[in-house]
Amino acid sequence: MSKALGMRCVWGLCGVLVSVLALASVTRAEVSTDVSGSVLVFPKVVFAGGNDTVIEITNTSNNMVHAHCFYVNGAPDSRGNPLWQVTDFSIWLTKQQPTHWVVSAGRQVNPADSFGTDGAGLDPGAVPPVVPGFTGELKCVQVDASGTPFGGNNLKGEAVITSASGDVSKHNAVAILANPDLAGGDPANQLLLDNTPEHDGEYNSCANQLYLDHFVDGTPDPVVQEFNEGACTDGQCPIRTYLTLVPCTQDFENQLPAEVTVQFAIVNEMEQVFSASTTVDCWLTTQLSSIDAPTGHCSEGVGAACTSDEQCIGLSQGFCNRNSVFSVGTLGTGSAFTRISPVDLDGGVIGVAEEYHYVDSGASARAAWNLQQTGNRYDATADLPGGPVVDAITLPENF
Amino acid sequence: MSTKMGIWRGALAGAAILLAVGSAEARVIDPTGVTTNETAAILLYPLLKANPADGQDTLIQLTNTSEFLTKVHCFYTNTNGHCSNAPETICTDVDVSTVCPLGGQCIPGWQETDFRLTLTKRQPLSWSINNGLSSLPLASTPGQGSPPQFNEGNIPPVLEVPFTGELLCIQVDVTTELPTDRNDLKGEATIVESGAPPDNAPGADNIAGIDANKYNAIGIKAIEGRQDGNPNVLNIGGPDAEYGVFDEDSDPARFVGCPNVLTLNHFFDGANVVTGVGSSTVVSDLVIVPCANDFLTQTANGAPTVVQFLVYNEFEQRFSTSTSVQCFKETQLSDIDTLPGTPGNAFSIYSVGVEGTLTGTSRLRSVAGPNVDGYDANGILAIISETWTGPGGDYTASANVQFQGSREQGDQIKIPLP
Repeated sequence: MSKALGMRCVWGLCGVLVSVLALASVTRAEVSTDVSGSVLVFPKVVFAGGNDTVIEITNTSNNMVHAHCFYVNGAPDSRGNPLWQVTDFSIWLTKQQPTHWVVSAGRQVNPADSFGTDGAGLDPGAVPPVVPGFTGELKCVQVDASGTPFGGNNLKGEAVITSASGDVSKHNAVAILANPDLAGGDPANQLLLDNTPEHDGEYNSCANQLYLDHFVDGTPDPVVQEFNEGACTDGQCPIRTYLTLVPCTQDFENQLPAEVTVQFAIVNEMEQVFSASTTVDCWLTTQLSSIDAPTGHCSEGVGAACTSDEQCIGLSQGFCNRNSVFSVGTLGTGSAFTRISPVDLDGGVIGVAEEYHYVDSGASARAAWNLQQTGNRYDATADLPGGPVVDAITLPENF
Repeated sequence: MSTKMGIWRGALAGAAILLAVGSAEARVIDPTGVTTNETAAILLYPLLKANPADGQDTLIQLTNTSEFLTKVHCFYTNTNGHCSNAPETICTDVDVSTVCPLGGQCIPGWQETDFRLTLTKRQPLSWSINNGLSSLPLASTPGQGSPPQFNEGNIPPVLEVPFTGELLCIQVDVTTELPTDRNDLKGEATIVESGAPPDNAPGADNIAGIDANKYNAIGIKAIEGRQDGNPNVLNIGGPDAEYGVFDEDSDPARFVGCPNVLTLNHFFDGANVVTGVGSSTVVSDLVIVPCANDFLTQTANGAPTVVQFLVYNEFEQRFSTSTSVQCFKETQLSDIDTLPGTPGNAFSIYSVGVEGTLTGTSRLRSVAGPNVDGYDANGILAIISETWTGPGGDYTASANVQFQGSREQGDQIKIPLP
């Protein structure tokens, strides 16, 4: 090759590179709590243990929106396995319409509801109540008037968990965005979560990894220690973090609960790394330190064996301390950073966290927040033997 | 063929490849630039509060999610207002008539304090803003990585209490301390109040003697490869910066743009929510901060930004109102269209008595300035905080608001260089 021809090739290549570099972007395609979507997941809905939940859902578009919603009861049965009982219903929301209901009461269609009362407004349809003892999730799928999944990305929502004491915590529903071009494709009742920057699919793939910043289990609340010292005698004002996870795959047609094993990589403030793992079977809500330490001992009294703080509080024996990799006794710092990763070819998970700030009387205040995420499950497993992983939500067929 | 011709042909070939790649590229449905879901280069904590007299403090969590040593340049902004005729007295629009001497006005404040620190591989940090962190965990002991990494710097406490304000943290290069194009930061803020029940003075106004609410810091992502040029001016969005894709302007966007519209679901003020375990009355506070900041000249933004509100109740009835924000605004929803404080709240479009339904949805749009240089978008960010009052007292909950799209104009954050 002549020198001139070589130079032409070099300059030509430069031109290509300049053009390619100009397309740099930060586009993403995972599930989100920042924008509205076509599938809303409320990972933690409870009407149990003196708690109830208020659901808020809004149509963010200027068109009528229909949604098919599913309550999934993940409360344990007599053998400790999740019930996985599903109850579904439909709602209709007019232009930009917000609606709400309390899960213990549901919402009846009653045009005579008084102005300013709980049922006032355009009723979105009959929303059934959940059974007492319900602990699980709510999932709403945007559909068209015929009931076929529709990728309009017009739903947003929040959940407020209230307690008998009046305490509240609030989190955003997690939205799975649809690719409007492909959502509702054949078979229409199967929603494939396989849309990524690398693959044209129906709905955005779930995250490959969840990020959780948390105070380490049992660390004394520094604000109580400083400003309300009498309520934190001997450091008895622990912060507890509860994590709720639901699999992205769900089969409502065949009533098959999905199972996902997740690994936890925990880094404390000293950059020390610890790990743990557990399996999410249908629905999981757990105190972080219960993941690897099911039992502990009350911090006061004779150190009775315990499985929950409530047991020790009821005995006036402090709190239930465990020897866990999430515990302050192990991590040794005030906060930690945990990465949550599904293993091998397991599907993705969606989660939310809730923090309990205790004082030594056993009273507490809660705060919930949404987890962060990175990557997507589809692309991350595309090159694995047997991959890629495609999570799917299978709705009951119309009949 | 000349060299110039070679470039043009190459560029054409590149364009053709891009067209082919573009048409084959999967459709990504996620148009927002700012995020509370993912890590980012800029983190904004829109509301911090500390008031030792009330047993109140804010716990900040900040994490480097990467495996690399990372440096962070943070700015506390003290937004306390002070009486015009008693500068030592802190005031708000609500209590100005009671705390300021007769005739005094409450002058909004905007005072920044900045600090720098390093975070080692995947290191989380937490601190209270009332105390700061005089010594970082790995200041003298190395971390686990190879080569071992150390923390540098420290975190000062806020300089005035009671404190109301915000925190902005920018990821910078470890060596040059200039903004980088990495997106490795995540964070949360927890506002805790605790006092001895039952009178709870000082402290949380509830029988538990403790209250807590938490929200995710809002992240603004850096655009990879775009941190050259003018390092002390961070262009947030801007000309042709739609969804992070930019053109080859001389001063292009370096960070993704702020959202065009904010959407939030909320209870109308005074809504009585009856659940299966009790009942409470709800009021909501909205905190709005501009995307633009001038930490270089230590001045608040110029002209106030007008924010338009569209409000829908559960009858699909539409209402609207507006307000203005200069550098920080924390307001009860009912005060947006009435005088600050309780009087008049029952007549607000955010009152349950006016709306007739318990919940509503609001769309917030800030009005952009004249498009002179492409960086006068007047973008805003926000969080919402609810107070539930029942027989057991007051409990609060915070939530992040949602975003829709981004706008053509951008905003600028101006920072001092090392």
